[in-house]
Amino acid sequence: MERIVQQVGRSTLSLFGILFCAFLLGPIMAFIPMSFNDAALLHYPIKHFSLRWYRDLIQASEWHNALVNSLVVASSATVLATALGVCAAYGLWRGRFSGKNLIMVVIMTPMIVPSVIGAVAMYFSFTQVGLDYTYAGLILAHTAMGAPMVVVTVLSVLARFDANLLRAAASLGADPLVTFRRVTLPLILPGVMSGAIFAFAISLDDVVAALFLAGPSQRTLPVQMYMRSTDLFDLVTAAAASVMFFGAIAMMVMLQLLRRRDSLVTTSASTD
Amino acid sequence: MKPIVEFRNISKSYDSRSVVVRNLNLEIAPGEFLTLLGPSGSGKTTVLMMLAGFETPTSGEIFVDGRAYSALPAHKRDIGVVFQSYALFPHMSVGENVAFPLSVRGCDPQEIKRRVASALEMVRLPNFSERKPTQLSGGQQQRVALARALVYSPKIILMDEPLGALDRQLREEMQFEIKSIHERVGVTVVYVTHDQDEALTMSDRIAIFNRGVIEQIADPKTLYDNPENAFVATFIGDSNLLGGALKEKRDGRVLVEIADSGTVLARAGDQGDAPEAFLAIRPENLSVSSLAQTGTENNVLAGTIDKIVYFGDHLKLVVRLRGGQTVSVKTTAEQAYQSGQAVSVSWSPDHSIAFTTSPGKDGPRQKAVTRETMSA
Repeated sequence: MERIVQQVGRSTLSLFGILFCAFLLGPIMAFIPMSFNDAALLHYPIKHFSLRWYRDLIQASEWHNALVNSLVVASSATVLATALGVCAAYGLWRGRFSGKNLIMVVIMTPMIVPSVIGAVAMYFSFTQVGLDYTYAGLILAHTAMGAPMVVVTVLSVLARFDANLLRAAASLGADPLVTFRRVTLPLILPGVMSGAIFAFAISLDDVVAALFLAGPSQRTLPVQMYMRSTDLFDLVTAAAASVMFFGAIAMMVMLQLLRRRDSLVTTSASTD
Repeated sequence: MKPIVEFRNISKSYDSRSVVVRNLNLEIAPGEFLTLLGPSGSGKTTVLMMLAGFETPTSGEIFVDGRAYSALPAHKRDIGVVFQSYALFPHMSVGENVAFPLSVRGCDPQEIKRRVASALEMVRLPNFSERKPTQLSGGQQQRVALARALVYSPKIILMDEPLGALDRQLREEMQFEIKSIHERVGVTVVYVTHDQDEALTMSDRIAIFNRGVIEQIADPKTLYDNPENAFVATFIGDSNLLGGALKEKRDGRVLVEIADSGTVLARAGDQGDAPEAFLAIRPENLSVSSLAQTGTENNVLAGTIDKIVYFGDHLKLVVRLRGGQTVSVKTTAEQAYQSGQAVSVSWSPDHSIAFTTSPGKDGPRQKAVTRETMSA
């Protein structure tokens, strides 16, 4: 009797898992093949396959510009977010001062506050200083959104970092900058890279802030897709969607590889 | 000879509540092997950290070669440090680890290669240059750490319980190696440990720390034979501690009455006048006999055997004296003893020392038997 109950339980769990994955991936899996459809139709069955929409994506100026804008903004925001995030994480880890919890809350705000509120607030304040509808404004906004992620990933790597290594390096004659460059950074690099990848993904995916802050010439890919899917629809949107989808998969694979590499570089001494 | 390190009125406290080091004055001679010995929390590690530059003193000044060091950051001090956790850089090979201090100082690559090779030679790991620290055993990692601390020829090397993570046999091997390297290189070593056997075998001098102060600083033999107070007497080596009443003082000797047991003669350990006396006698200086002993100059007390502990090459007899106190006697396992047997315990008065202050409630008391059982 008990065996049957166990078996039923396990099957129910599997069924639930499958249904859940289907719910999450279903719409995407239904949509992606559309991008290879030769006919400009949004229904199955697909009679002929072609890459024409991908060609349009690269060649049509409005799509081309959107793609370039996304990449430029995302790269710049990633570099800034990573630099700021690493410094913040290091300071929080090493520093001996009160108010650390308050600072953490402030840093985490972009991740907790709904993006619309953040976007509206930034829109109104950027307008005061003339940063609206500029690349700088959008990059700053994406930096603020991505930095918390870098802080989180770098802090989690630092938590496992043996602080004695810094003392050892100092005793051997390395000043703090040399120690950071030759000892700390190489060891926390997996955390830094995963944070950077997250920041890049956050910037690439963002629609809300870009809708408020990007003028026509800074329009990013998600905004372009949004615009094109509400009025006249064409399958280039589908092509763009599948590009972002496979890009996201590539980033997840990189994150997994980084996680594996990190576990190989242990910081604890072996005792026998 | 001018000291290479001088601590002048050094104090250290955190949050002005707990004083970890109290008004320390200490001079270290160049080339000596000085051990800072004491229980956990006695301040010995903090003193080491202040010398290394990882902690700043709350007050006082540290002088190295006559130069004030307190304000100098750790990376400018040119002092080698060996940690208990080895602290080898896991992303670098053994060779790169040992080369690190030289490359930081801008030595040329040929010079670096040569010196790394000779440092690894000195710790007997000549072909380990390419290996990663995670591929080494604990003892090998510690030797690499030692090579790395020595390769740039610092004047002083600090070791913070470096052998604590190793098993007993390896520890003894490493003690021997460290000592022979010290003799060969002639560097000043400041060594922190809570293991008194280690301190006794390796040091030129030992400073006994207790609750932030140095109780006594001397060479191992002086500390062992002539402890200045009950704490040192019971911390170094095994020692029995009998409580009694001070009866008479004469010519550096005292008469102590052990309640319900008898009156014994001992050396005066200090000049105090307090009526309560603590008598320290080492187990190996006591003899046990089943016959009553009379007419000798020795102190004799009667008792019964409470416990017999076997140690392979010797026996420890725990004898309960009349009046309730116990003493441990170390004896060779020649005669057969039985629990409950009536015996007399005797010793020469010069082998016992009477103190008027107790070791303190944090200090070790009569733990002769239990401590040996723990380290065996």
